[in-house]
Amino acid sequence: MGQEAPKDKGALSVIIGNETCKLKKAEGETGMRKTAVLGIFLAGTGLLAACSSGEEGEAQAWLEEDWEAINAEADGSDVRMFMWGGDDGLNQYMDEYVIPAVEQEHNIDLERVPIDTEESLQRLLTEKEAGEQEGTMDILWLNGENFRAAKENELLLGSFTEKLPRFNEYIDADSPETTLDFGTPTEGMESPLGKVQFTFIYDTEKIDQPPDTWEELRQWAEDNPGEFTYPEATDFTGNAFLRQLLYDQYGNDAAFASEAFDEEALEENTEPMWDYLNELEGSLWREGQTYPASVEELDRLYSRGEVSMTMGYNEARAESLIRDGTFPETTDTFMLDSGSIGNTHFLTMPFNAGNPAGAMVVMDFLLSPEAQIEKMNPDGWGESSVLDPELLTEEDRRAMEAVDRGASVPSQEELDNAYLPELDADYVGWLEEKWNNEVVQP
Amino acid sequence: MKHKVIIGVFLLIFSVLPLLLLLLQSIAPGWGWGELFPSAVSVQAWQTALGDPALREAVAVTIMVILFVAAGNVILGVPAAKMLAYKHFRGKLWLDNLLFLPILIPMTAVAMGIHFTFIRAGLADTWLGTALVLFIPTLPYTIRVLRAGFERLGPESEEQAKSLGSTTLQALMFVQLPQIMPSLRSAVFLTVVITAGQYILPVIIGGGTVPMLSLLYFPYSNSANEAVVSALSLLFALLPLVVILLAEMVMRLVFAAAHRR
Repeated sequence: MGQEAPKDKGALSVIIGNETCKLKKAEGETGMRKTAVLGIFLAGTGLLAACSSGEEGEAQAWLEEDWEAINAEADGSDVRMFMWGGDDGLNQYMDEYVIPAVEQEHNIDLERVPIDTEESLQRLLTEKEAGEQEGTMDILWLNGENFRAAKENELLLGSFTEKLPRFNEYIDADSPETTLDFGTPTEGMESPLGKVQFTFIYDTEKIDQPPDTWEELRQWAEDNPGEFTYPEATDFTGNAFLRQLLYDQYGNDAAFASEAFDEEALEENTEPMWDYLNELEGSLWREGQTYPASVEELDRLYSRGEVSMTMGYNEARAESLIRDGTFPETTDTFMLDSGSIGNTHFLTMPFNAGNPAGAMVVMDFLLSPEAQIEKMNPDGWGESSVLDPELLTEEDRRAMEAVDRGASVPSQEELDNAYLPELDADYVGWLEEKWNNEVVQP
Repeated sequence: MKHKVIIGVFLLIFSVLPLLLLLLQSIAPGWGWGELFPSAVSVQAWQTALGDPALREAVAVTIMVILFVAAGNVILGVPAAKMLAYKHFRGKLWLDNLLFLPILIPMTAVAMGIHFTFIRAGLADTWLGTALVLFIPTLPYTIRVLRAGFERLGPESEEQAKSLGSTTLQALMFVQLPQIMPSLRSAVFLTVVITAGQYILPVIIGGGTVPMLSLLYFPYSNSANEAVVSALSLLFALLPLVVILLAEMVMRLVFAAAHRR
């Protein structure tokens, strides 16, 4: 998954973990004997103490402190940031810019720990059960399904963004890009880091004029059999491709995102979408008998020239791959006229963060215009800024506009015009299942 | 002669060629489909792989953990294997199956419970805890392999050594172990390779604070940049080789010292 924020698998185990806690809570209301038996059983494993110990830890106390005290505490401390580490650009941005900068400006020793977000959540869940109040994780990178699972399981420290001076200064706190994370209200529990939009990537040498509509895309695929495919619905990007198509069933109306997830209505209204995909299948790579399991596999097919298009949930993802020679130099990016869904990814603190003060100072630093402008540098991460240009100083705004993100990245204006808010996380699972039934099975 | 040719061909197809391909891929980014030769050569992937500042520490920690696990496997595995090979007692079949069980149960299912226990014991997030948990996927194999070695050897050599006045330990060190060297070597080899390749256990128990090499490598395996993946794969393959050489040296030294006495 290119650079498009943490993945969202593994929610199942997280939910199972939640059940045990629910079980425990319900238990207090049942009869004495039952409680005793269960109690002995649970005490043996230590679950009893863990689930009921909801008392506020030391970490929460830092949410009440003022910024000066937080800054003083952060000075000279260590901060551990857990983030998925499979992207060179992202790693480079962290290792070569952020880590030295926070060391210099705040005397903080920041360490990047490259672990998948699901694994991190799994660990947090066990730590919560075991009553571990002093965790190793200070900052966690996440969004979407993972955020929802973390929030529902009370794995997060709490609402903190209004503490961050730069959040208050530069972020449009009322914009749905900030208040909603795949439909889940953020409630100040996570601070934005970056945002990305869905785009298609193609080779200009093989395609003169990229398609503008879904119909043109299908026509092009039909005329060039075997040169197009998309990742499976279980893949982050493959699912985004399907959500993009789903939006089209609803006239690409941004209001669709704020509608509640209604499975019955979906079943009724999405018939044309599945017909479209089934019709498309015959023209796909290997005639649709198999789909790439991940967007990286699709990328490899593209970089070897087997297919002429790939895609990515990050408008700048082609740029770094072109620069390091993975993608041909004739690679460019396009969006359909119908729009491009986008999402924001965030940083948060777990309930047992060992150094919340240091974590908040680092997250505040990452919202500085300097850090956000550096993040746009295509030789590093090349990712879009989350700051509201209206709130920036004249000087910073010019500096931001002056960044050359690379020829393959659509202009900010194009991106803003095409922007469609991301759908509720419930759609992800529904599309996975439905795609399997409608497209793979028959 | 004919055998040697067949073995040679197999070696070439299944080990030399894939390694060579990895090496080529690591220095030729964007080697396109249908191109006979790569269009460009660059060492950038190696710079990315070797430039990761965590790499040096990860290599050191990984070697330490692997050696610890390998030594512990031999120390725990030899008595267990010997007893299973020579002694007959009630419930032996049960014990045998019980010792093999850790391999059959999915590791992710066990990891959460162990993590829970280790947090309570203060072993979570420490290198010792990580090393201890890595006995689970390795010790069953070690016992199996060593047991087969002891069974082939038979109990007679120990009896003979004892009749000549040696203690059980002396018989083990001077008579039995030198004779089951091939089994010992296989056991160490398996332990090293399995330990190096573990991802979930070090992630869950070590929590990223114990930087094993697999933690650095696995996230990259998902990257679209095949060159970096290839470079890291080669490094990753090299490490067990180095450790096995180290282990071999240690074993030889131990036996040589034992002989001199």
